[in-house]
Amino acid sequence: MNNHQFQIELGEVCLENYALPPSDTLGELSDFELGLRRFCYEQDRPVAIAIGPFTTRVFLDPDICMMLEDNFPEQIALLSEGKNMQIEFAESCWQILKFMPRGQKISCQIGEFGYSLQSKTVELDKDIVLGVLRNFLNEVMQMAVDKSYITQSDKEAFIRPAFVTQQSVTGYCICKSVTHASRK
Amino acid sequence: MSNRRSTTRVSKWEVVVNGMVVEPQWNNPKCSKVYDHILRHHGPQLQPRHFHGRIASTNTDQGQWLNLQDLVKAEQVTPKHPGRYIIDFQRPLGRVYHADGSITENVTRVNIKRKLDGTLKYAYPVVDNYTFKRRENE
Repeated sequence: MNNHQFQIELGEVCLENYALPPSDTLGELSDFELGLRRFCYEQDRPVAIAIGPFTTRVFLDPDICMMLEDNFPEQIALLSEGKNMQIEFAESCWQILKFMPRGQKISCQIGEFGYSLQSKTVELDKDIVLGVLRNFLNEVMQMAVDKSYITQSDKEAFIRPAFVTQQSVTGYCICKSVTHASRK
Repeated sequence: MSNRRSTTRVSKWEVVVNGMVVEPQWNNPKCSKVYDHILRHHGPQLQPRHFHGRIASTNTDQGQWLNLQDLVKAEQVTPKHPGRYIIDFQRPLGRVYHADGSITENVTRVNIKRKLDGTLKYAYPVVDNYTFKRRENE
């Protein structure tokens, strides 16, 4: 077993649902918001997050749906900039995953709450973590597009913050300063 | 896609519908913006089979609200500052289905989280020994 692995795996679709379907009787949600909730409910499946030797098991509905709605793409962007990121699961399990960048590594703390307050820490590779999080985000959202729950353009707009890297921002700044220099 | 109204997001949970900025209907338990996830997974209309099914696949206790209006009251008494809270109503407001098959009736406490945008991420009844913090004698 790899003590530094970080993987997220989607399982097969669940045959039975143990919650009520999303509803919007007041018409408050956009097509995208309701589509995402319907996708997670109707295509519900287990999600296994392997962190070192530990595995966190959750489901698309409601865990991943809530994670996505909790600014997940923006959180990935913050992590890429060296800031801490936190994912809280309070439904299928009671855990907080705290990702704390340390140079090219990420210290991942798996903290429990509820009946146990145990905490475990695993050291991970930063590039691998960012790659896995971005791939998972893209995979889930593309699945929602392919099954016609959301549009491709809504998906692209939603995931974009996760793919804006510091490098591309720096590149933009360099281009700007070069332009200024050439004007002088 | 459906023929639903198109909405433009101006902030996280404010949307422009037909040119008007709309706030979530905090006092209405049917408000999807605030309560949808909670009602679908912990609402009073759920059957025991829903909780037993979820416990079978997660091995995690599940709380159920007895009354929709108590959920609205919980939102009202929860501090406006984002964070996790355990609130004791000191009167029965729910039950907890346990992973061992037992059920605790008449629980008085709620685990609730307010997000940065002010809406609730989750809210469900919990038993007395559910906690976020290490007790002093541990």
